[in-house]
Amino acid sequence: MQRMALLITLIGIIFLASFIELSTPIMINSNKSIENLLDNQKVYVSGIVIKETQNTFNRVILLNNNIALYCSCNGLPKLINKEIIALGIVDTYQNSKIDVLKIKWQ
Amino acid sequence: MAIEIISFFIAIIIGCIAGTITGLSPGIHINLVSVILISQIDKFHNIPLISLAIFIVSMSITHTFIDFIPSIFLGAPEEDTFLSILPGHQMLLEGKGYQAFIITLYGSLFGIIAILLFTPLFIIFLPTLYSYLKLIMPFLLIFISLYIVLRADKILISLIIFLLAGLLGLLTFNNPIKEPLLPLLSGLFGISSLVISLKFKTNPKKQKIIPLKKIRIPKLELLKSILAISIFSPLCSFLPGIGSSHAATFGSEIVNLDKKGFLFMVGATNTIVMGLSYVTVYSILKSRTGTAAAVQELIKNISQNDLILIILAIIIAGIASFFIGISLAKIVSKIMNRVSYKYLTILIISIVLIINIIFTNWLGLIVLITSIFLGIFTILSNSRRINLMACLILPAIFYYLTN
Repeated sequence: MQRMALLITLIGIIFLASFIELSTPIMINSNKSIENLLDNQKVYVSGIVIKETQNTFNRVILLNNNIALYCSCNGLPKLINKEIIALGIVDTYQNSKIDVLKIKWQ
Repeated sequence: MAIEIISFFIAIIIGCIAGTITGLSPGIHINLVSVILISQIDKFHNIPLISLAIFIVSMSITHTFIDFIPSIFLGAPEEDTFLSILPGHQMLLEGKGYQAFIITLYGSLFGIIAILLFTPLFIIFLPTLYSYLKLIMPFLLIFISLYIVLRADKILISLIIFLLAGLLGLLTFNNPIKEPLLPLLSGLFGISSLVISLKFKTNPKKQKIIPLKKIRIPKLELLKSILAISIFSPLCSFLPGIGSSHAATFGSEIVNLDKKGFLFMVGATNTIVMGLSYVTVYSILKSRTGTAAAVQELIKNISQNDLILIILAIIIAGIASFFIGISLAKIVSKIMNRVSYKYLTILIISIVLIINIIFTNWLGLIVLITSIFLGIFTILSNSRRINLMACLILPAIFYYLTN
């Protein structure tokens, strides 16, 4: 039983690790749709950047659909008025936002 | 003025009732009640906001007194109480479940006194010391991790369990899981030990209800426990990602405690961390518990008068919860003596599974299955279950090193 318990534990851990990598992101269009999602849900978000501010650790990017993106994107050019598409994860701690993993702009 | 006093006491009474219900039900958390209250705030426009805050404070304090009942008697824990299962379950098997719970009540009552003592210190020193203490926390966590692993008789097995639990914790907190702590902790610390009890046909002795005067903690154990509480509980009350379970782990690893001393410490720590989270909101405007965040949401700027009312509510709710706890423990002990432990264990496992099915999602159920088997592996390999605390310690280390 001891070996079986260890084996099932390892299978569970591998499955959970794979899910982080392989899960399909959801496309979201508004701040309200974030509220229906769970923390760590992978999402795609697109829009035009209307405001950019820099705080101690992150750049906060506000889109025209009122979605706030938190990005620790060093060396990235200013994105104001540009159309972007970003891959990120939902983070609802303190307020609903998206932590950016990848970002592309036109 | 009279109406304000009446509404203050009504808020405490309703808070105590709600805290008793949430404390007895492992799946219904005080944070859930607070979130519902905040989302329905328009329906309570006739009630002063401070009364709603007092309700939340009283509920949370009562919850910290009562939530050891499911943990000790049923092996169904929450994130604040799961460490009490280990010595609590052992005492239950010896017919001392009632005593084990009363000792946690003593601890919680001591916690109220400690909150009063630490409040002025928090108000004076916390704004200055906060950033320095935040810097040392990851190193303290790394030191404790090494200490837990290297102290074990079988270091390799201990290391494997520690790393697997840590990895499971990291994956749980980085996947889209509803109520992630519920499957993680009920699997690692609850269902796993109940399954082992069933497999080895464990039968607890008849539960004895003895007078309070006879339930004592040896003086040395009490002093050691108070020392651990005084150092670690305040430290774990205001830092993000750290809670009462971390404080109890630090305390139990640094100060060698017996079962009674440990239960006293866990009881006190649970209440202190909750109580001081409200003082932290006043002192540095940061909320470290779900209920403190709810209180901060209700009263945007907590004044000195508000804080006095909150402290008063903590004292009254704490004393009332002590007596509620004694009565409930007597009832639960009598029930335990009447029913078959085997069937009770099957019933509890079923209830915890149903609670998980209701409150988490399918990914949470994967976490539950994985954590049950990791818990079983730990018990069968005769390793200390404190290694499983890595599920909270490793994510906290990562949080501090990456933020």
